[in-house]
Amino acid sequence: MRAGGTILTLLALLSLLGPELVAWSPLAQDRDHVYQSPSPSHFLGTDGLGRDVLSRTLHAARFTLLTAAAGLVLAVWFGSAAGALAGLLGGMWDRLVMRSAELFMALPALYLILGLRNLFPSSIGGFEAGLIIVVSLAAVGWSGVARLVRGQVLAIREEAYMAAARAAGASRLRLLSVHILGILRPFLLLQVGLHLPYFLLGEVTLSFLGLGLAEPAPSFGNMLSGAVANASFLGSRFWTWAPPALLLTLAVLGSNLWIEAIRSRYIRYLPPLEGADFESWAARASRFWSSSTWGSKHLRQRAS
Amino acid sequence: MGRVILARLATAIPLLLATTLLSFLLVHWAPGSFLDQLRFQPGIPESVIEQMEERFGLDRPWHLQYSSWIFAIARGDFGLSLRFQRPVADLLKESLPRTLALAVIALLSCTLAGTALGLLSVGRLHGPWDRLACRAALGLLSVHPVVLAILAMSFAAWTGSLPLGGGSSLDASSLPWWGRGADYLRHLVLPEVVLVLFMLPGFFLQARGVMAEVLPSPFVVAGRAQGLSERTLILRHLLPASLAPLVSYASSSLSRLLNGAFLVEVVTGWPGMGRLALVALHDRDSFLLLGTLVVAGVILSIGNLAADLLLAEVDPRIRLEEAST
Repeated sequence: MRAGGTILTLLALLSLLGPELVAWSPLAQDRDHVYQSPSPSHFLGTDGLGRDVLSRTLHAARFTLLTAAAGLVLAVWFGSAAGALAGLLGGMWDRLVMRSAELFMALPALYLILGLRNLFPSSIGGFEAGLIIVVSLAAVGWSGVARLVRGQVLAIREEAYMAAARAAGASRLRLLSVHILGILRPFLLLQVGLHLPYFLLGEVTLSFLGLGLAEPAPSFGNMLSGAVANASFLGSRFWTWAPPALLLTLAVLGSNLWIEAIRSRYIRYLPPLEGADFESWAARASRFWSSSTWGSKHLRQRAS
Repeated sequence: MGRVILARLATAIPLLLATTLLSFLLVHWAPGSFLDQLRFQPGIPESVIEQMEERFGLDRPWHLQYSSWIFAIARGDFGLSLRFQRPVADLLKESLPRTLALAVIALLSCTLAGTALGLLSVGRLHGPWDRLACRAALGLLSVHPVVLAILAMSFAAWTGSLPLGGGSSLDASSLPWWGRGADYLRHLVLPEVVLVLFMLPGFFLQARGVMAEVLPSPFVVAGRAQGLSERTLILRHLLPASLAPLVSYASSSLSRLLNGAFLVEVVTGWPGMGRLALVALHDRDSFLLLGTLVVAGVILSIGNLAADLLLAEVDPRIRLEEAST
């Protein structure tokens, strides 16, 4: 199963190098040549302001991949730190972390993001927009990770080697960093993989709703919403929305395939997740959706 | 059963209250308000804005505002939408049934169709149909709902058979009741199909995974050895055993369902609660935004409560566990 990794690597290369290779600027307008179909001068045509679609798509891909990756790292880092602390310290800390995780799960993710986004001014620059997207994705994503990590930590805490380490005088920090998070590394990597498609889609959702990167800067989301605004021309001007849609789908497909690659590679090192091993990659992908959209009953049962 | 409901409510209600507090504070701390936007319009004198501020109680400290707001909600009064100049409760009353129709139909059809497709797959695990269905499901899982909606709308525009947006035709009010109903359904088809396509792969993969897990259990082998027909085996033994995980998956996907409904509404123009929330956010219409947040939280907790009760119904072990605690 190398397909997922290959797709992701190619897309990462494309989004890093691609924008530099295209002659057109993503912002340069050419009002005399609006809605041009693909031609040798504009490989993917132009949009409603005469801007080059290829250049915009590549810049958008760069933005989406970067923000999704950053949000993912932040969510998994914070979620695993909170979950590990809750599991390790127990008592009041445990209750505090778990109750606040539940609070973040009590609203549908999109409505929660809407509330969070409300804290910031409506129109902001590209960097701030990226930052806000990263933070709101992480704010929604951390609770699921925290729950899972806490469950794992509770199981690990009872292991004999933990008692041995404690008896040998290991500090709490050492227990946490070496004996718990060290063991959980493959598990955390799997969490990263499982959440990647969700974060890619989330970034696009935000920009699509006008809550992320705003025009004129290009993002998958605002390119799609520009196309939707002229709904009656969707078919006749397919080149304005098909390239971002296609790249996005490829990226998510790639990460869905990548999940399976990581999983099958690390499966022997993983603490038993749930269910038996003959569960297919596809079922795992579906479980990702249930775990990433919060409040899953079987996960809750495992955690307790 | 009554005790179970009470116990659930005892945890659900404080959580719901905390949710309202969280959403209230998020909205309260937000920079800029509807009134600030009015301040930028030169035609409106400052005294008018101050009057409005006083009328809506926006000049009081936040905890007083919160408590009067929460007690008003308990009476069914969600405040006034500044953007529409109408009670928020009225706006919600119009849009909520549409969101619920979209979501509930999608949930039911995905549960049924997902289980049925899963059964077909499990009938010959790793057979040609199973492999095809799994690939299709993973592909579909990778498509953003917005892209799905765009594809569906281009298709509808191409065939010209379905209305492209909105919740009713312009002349709908002059139609008889059955005409209005048909008009409603015609407009519902497009968003509904998109939402089902978005949700179905997850349900299918879950059903397939769960049933594939149950399939090698001793009781299935024993049933087969006794000579039960495949039909009886599947309907009487396999299906009941896989019901509990399926119900819990359905409940865990409620949040995703509401997210999906939100996006589908925005793209296809189905006038539901998601669109209302987006308008409220863009216009900084605080009471409207709060109203949609609270209602979304309530729907989610009612859904979870219903799922818990259903789960206790289909899985006796859970019932026993709860009785003992």
